[in-house]
Amino acid sequence: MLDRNKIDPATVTVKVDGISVEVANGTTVLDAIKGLNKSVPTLCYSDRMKPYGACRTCLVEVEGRKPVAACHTPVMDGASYRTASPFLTKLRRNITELIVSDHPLECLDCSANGRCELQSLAQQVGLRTPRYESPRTHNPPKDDSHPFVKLEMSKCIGCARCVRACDEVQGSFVLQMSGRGYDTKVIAGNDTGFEAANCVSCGQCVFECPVAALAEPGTREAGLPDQVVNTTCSYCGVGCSLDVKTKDGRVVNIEPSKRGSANRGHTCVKGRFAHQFAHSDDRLTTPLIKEGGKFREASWDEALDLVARRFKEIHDQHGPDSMALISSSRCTNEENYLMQKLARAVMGTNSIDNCSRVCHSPSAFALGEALGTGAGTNSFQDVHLSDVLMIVGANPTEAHPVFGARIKQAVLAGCKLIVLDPRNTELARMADLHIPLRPGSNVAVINAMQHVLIAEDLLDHDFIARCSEGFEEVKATVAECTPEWAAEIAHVDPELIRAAARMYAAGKASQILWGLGVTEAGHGSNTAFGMINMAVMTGNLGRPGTGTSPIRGQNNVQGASDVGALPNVFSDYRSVKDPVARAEHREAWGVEPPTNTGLRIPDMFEAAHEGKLKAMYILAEDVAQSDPNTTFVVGALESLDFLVVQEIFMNPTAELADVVLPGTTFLEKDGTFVNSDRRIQRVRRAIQPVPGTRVDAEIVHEVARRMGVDLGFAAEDGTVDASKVMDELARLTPKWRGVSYARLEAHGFLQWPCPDPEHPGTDIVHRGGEFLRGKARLTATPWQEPGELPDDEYPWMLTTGRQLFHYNVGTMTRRTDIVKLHKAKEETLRIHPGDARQLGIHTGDNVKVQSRRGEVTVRAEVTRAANKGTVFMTFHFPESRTNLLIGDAADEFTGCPEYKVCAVRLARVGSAEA
Amino acid sequence: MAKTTSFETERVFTKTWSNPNGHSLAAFKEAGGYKALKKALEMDPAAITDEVIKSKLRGRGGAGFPAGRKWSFVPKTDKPKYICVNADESEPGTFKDRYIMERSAHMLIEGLAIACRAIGAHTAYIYIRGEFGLAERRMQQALDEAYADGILGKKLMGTDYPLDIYVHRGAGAYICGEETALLESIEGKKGQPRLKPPFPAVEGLFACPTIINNVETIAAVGPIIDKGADWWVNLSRTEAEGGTKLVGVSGHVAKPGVYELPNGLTLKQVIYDVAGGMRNPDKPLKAVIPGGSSCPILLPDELDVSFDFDAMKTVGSLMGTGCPTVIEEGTCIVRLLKRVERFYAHESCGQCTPCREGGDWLFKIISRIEEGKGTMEDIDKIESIASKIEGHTICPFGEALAWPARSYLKKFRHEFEEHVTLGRCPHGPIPVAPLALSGVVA
Repeated sequence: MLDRNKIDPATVTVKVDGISVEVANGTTVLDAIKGLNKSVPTLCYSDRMKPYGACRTCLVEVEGRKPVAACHTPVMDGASYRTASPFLTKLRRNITELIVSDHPLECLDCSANGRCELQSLAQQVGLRTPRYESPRTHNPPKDDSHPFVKLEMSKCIGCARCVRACDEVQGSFVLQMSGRGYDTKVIAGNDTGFEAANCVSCGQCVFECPVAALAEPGTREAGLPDQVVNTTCSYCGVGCSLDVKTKDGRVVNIEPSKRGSANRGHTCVKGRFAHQFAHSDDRLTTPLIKEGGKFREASWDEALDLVARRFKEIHDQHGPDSMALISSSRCTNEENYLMQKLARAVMGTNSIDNCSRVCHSPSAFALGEALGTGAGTNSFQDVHLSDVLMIVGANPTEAHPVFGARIKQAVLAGCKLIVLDPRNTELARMADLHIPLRPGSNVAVINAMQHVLIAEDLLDHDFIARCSEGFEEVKATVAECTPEWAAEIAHVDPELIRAAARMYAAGKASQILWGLGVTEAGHGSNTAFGMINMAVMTGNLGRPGTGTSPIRGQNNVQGASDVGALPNVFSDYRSVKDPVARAEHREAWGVEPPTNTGLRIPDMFEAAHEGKLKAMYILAEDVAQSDPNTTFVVGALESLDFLVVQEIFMNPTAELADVVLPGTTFLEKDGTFVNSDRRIQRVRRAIQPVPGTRVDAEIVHEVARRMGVDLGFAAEDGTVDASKVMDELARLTPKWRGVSYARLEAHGFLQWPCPDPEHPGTDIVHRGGEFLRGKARLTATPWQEPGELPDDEYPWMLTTGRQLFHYNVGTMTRRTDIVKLHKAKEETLRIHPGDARQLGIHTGDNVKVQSRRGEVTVRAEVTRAANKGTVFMTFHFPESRTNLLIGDAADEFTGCPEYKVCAVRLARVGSAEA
Repeated sequence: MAKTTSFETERVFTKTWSNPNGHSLAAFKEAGGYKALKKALEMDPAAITDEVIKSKLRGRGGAGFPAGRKWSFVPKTDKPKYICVNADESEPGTFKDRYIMERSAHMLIEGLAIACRAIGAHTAYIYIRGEFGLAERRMQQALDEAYADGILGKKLMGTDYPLDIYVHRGAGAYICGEETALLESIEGKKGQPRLKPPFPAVEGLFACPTIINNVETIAAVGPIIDKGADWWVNLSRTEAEGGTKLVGVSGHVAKPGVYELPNGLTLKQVIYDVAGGMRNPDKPLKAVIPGGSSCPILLPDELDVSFDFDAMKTVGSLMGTGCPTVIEEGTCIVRLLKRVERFYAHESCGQCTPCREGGDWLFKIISRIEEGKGTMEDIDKIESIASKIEGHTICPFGEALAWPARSYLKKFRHEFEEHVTLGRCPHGPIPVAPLALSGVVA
């Protein structure tokens, strides 16, 4: 027996098959074996989860003792282990035989055939037919109720990997092992089926199942894929690495990649299952030209010639200021780089922007101004190193599910959580402190938190003195911002604000993460400045587990901005006025970059209404649906002389175009995306472009060529070589100079700044308080009301956002099997039970939602996920036209609109039965 | 009711059992109860543990691990520490702890309070088998009395030492008698054994240092502290362990029941001299399961051995819980094994393969043999399965499954073969009692 009071040595020496090896004390026997590049069979073991010890196939011999299970037994100093022997093979064969004895031997008919871990184990140990002939007694009915997960308990081997994946990776705790002994089975919830058990359909259970007890429908019929391509997900900004499995040129299914640095084998329902849009029948497959108000099909040559000719004509007639381009954060870095090069080098205008304008432009602006780089400071993996997390205006468990799951795991492991959000999100319900502030009052609460930090001297004086400037000004600004003052504005308890500031300051490593509830909620830049102030004042920057990071909404919204699809900057956020940057671009492009003041997206619509803007080229962004004040946007587009829209599906923006060019999805192209934590990752072609479509980079390149400029990236076959684009981009982008396709292939990813080919990339920016801008700038942020306030006529606050099962305006997700899920069927107005009672509204009733700009009618969903006084809608359902309601008040620095703050009035217009 | 025997000893556990109200606080105090706790509270906690080590008190749930040494494994940390009393007495053939709870509940409380003091625990749980109605009521009643009397609570016996004791009821799973499954159950989870290490003494209940002891072990602590380790050692007639022992004899004996006996009598003495020998003179002794149904079976010529933890190992079996089951001639060993394996197959928690699948196959194959439908290969399969279960599972449940099968087969193989050759059970038709398991009707 061990002496518990003896101090354990740091390392121990053991023998594995006669080889001596020194390993850390506490290492499992399995890890010691793996360290020697040896293996033992396992079934219940998964390297992402805690050992479970159930299958017993990993038993190894220990000299002088009885065999132990390698997966969970720590090595014993001086012990000698044997991983293989006739005894062990027989033992493993007999254990495998017990597992197989009640498993249907219908391998040919099974979706796991060829990839079944039980099948290969049986082969490995030489098991043929089990000796225990007897009628099979486990034959429960299959559960086919879920569109993505098929449960066939007769095949279950009781390894509980699904249960543990649900607990330890996803954190949803939906599955459990029910019953005991021979009757043990996996159930969802209280055996009510997946959907009723609050399953989030992430598919981790299917991914972990070593057999086919849990399987993805359709994979059995398809057989083994003939190609597996690793690529990066095109939904949110987490940047999950995906293995796309294809057969006969079509996607069979998508699985998470365990090597993915951002997701480590995890995905959400969208990335994993919502891919059918690529093969949708209504893909645009031929260019369209509008004649007499109607579209007609056209050849590529005809359409491209028309586009080039009209652009040239308008350019020559009205000058470069009459042209504007909207690039796409859904497209690759290379495509965005080409778009801004087309704008600047061919059309001679800085009027190029991307949709970060309407999401995180305030974050990028504030981080750039205050710290010197327009991106999050830390990495996703840092949430496990934080002891306090403060999440402001973000709902990551729905909008960034894989990152959200990681936050949940950190909180379950003991990290303190502060949530500032008007909604009772899942994380708000888990939080130690939830401040349910009124939409639009962020700056007041953040100022009050700074007030508490200063008033109670919870500061890192050394850090402030050594690494920052502007403290006195901030101190003066927040002097009057007491918690009591902020509480009046935000409708919360002042003690909550005090407690939150104290909790944040008490953390050894405190991290602030925020979402669009900051940037789209009025004065977003000031809110971001305020949070950066908090981090600087408490020294919570430049270390693991600290930092200030926005959780970015789209797959490549970071990259689109990084590569210069913005009106005021080249790539790397270098000002278009910066003489060094101008010189470098002049040399690379052979033309003088334009000097005009480029239009931002909202300015473009203004200019179109004023008649100054004549032509637009919109790449993959449905502005007529996703931008606020829809009526105004549509009017702007209609007033243009010439509108080109490049899209994969016909949508309200494309309907207004003069020429529609059919582009391609991420599955059909090569390139790179940058995720939310500055991670540059490869996008690889998994399927050929659907006939009739062309890769977006190629189209942009071709438009330029036909306008008389060769952008210089055409491969011999006329396609665009994305790696060549990256080479030029990297050359012109100081923080990307070390990036190349060769390095990305070798490393899997690079986090910028990566200034030279030897640089490993940067997981944490501003390490040691050495800020990229020199000293961190503390910024005074005086309180102002948002542009929109409730009054007697419009007494309710509407805030908008995403839900788990859909993505933005639903162009992709609503063309997939995701719509088979009950929760993904229609838009609802989420309203608190108390408010609903007051208005006589019940779940399912039709409610008229009226703002100062318009009205829509949706069904009500009475839920405590909404707080009193604030209602919530998504914008996933074009037919409900949420954005019609939203005003065009905007952030004073960046023009980011206030999607999250909209005064409305509500009226019930029909009962649930209507 | 304890029976008097020719091996009369000083009564320790059964002192108040002849009094119908012996379980009350008043009766316990009158018999000298809670003196030991008072004494212990004046002792250095380490001295309590030392005294228990000296007494050679061993774990009476079956493993026989020295109780005092177990306590000494608790690390010195700031974390809370816990004691859980394992009162999930569920092993077929074992019935002693329930009588302590029904008749000497305060004895358990006193011992538990002393043990808590020894390791520095301020919270203790008594995990009582779900089926034990009276034991639970008596235990709760005794706790209520102790709280009302100021013995337990914020001030243990008026000192500054707070102690709370809770009764936690099981819900009918044998596996929750396995110490880590018991902890899972108290934590509100499904009762399944944990992987070890970490051992409970380091990381147990709510991830804090925890000692789990059997009812009888804890109940013995009071008298040991009261009268001293030497007195306890002298009660025994063997070097292996000190004290007296509650022995529950069942099966085909003339006088089955619970007896308080000095440790160190032979099994033969227990059966013939204490329990009155066989009930039917025409049916001599055939076999004995010495300490609960999981223990390897013994033949009549293997009984002249001291009934203690060490000596029983020399005959290839175990003392277990100290409750022998006696079997007379004419009993079908195959049927007996089927009955035993049905129990274990039903009680397997289902976590690890050998026991989840193996238990069920053992039961199916043995049933087949009993019905006369088995083959000689089936007999070999029993050994093949059982030998792959033993020593290869997460918890000792695997042994409980394997030992009966392997020992019955080793000692009575001819009976199994007879079933196969005759094509029926030589002991007559199979009783119609429903032995349904997993949808298979035996």
